[in-house]
Amino acid sequence: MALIDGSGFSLPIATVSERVEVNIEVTEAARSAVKSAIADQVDTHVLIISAKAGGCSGYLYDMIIVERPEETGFQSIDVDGITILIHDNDSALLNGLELDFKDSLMGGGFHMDNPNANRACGCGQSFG
Amino acid sequence: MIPALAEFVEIPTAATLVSGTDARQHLNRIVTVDMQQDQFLSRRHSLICDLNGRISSFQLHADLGEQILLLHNESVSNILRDNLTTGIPWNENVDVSSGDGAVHRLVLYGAHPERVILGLGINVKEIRKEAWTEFLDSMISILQSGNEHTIFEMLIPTRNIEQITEALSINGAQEGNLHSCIALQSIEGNIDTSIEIAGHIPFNIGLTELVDLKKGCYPGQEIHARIESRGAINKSISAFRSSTLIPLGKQTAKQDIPLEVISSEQLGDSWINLIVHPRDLETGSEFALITSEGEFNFHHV
Repeated sequence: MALIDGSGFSLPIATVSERVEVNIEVTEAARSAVKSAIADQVDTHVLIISAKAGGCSGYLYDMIIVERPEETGFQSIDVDGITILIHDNDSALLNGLELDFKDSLMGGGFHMDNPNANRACGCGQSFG
Repeated sequence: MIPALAEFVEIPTAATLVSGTDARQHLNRIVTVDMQQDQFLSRRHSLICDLNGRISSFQLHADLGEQILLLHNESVSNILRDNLTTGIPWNENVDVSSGDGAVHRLVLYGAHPERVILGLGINVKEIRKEAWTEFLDSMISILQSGNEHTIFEMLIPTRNIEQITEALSINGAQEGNLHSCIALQSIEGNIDTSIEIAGHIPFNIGLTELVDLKKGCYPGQEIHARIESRGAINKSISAFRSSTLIPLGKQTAKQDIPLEVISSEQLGDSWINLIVHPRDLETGSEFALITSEGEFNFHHV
């Protein structure tokens, strides 16, 4: 687009995030649920827990099971043979996290208890 | 002397470019509007609010596909760019750049701006408020289509600004007055992105249409939902006319009415003021402010 093809735009603004060594707690119920979700792909797949902008309180939790990514920048945590990855950029936000799982039809699923959160959204998916 | 067909004026603006394959998705998680359905050349306004539901920044979007240009008041550049660069997920491709000085925002208004636009070779019928139309490396849209004043808005790269302003002059437009242009918008209840509104609750300054409570969570959404559901919108904004400039900021009118003047712009012999006032205020009457700078009388436009 010619409007923005010209000069005058800066290089991308760098984001500086603090990197800390991550420790997380995974409850027995959460371990069992993650194992069940990964099933027989435990050797090739990992659970990535991350935080992204958005949600009522500023950040949203995100959890995905994916094939082990090639890119660097992750901290790896082994929980009963399951690999959990947390990106360095999210390390300060997620350090100390406790991952729990509630087996309930209403409000069930994974729950996060984050000591870094000053506030959390009612649905539990957002923190700030 | 032949009267000008229209007037043009540049509204000072800062610019921020959000680019990358996930730019729209990233932005959509933060802003108060739902821009999932936006597409190439979409035009819209949005707000980013803090966790207390108060406005952090107010921006005009020019969606260029994987590049979304945001035009905004310079005073919010830092907080806007901080908000945009925070929380970019590890697996998303988003870059944020400053475009200050790279793009000019020009508006065209007056008696017959459409005739000037025709002279530029643009089909006026193709110009819509919700989209940008490309011309000469630039873009044009409708900023306001009120009963009396249609105002067109152009985004022009710096390298073309002289060429475009010359073309506007050749086609019958003359350089106008920034204050008049803002005042014309104020009369119609429009808040220009150049006006400082940070710290206000969107509902209190008439920006309800920029709050989409059905889109899902965004920072400030819980507060907005609570205000809306409890009917706790206790302020409103109106345009008032005065014979002098009214000082900006919080004021108390006679009868102890709390007011906040967010803009005061001259239009002809009078000033058009955007004033935040209690919602139940009878706007038909006249008001007077007594400040350290003097007494100011104004009435609803």
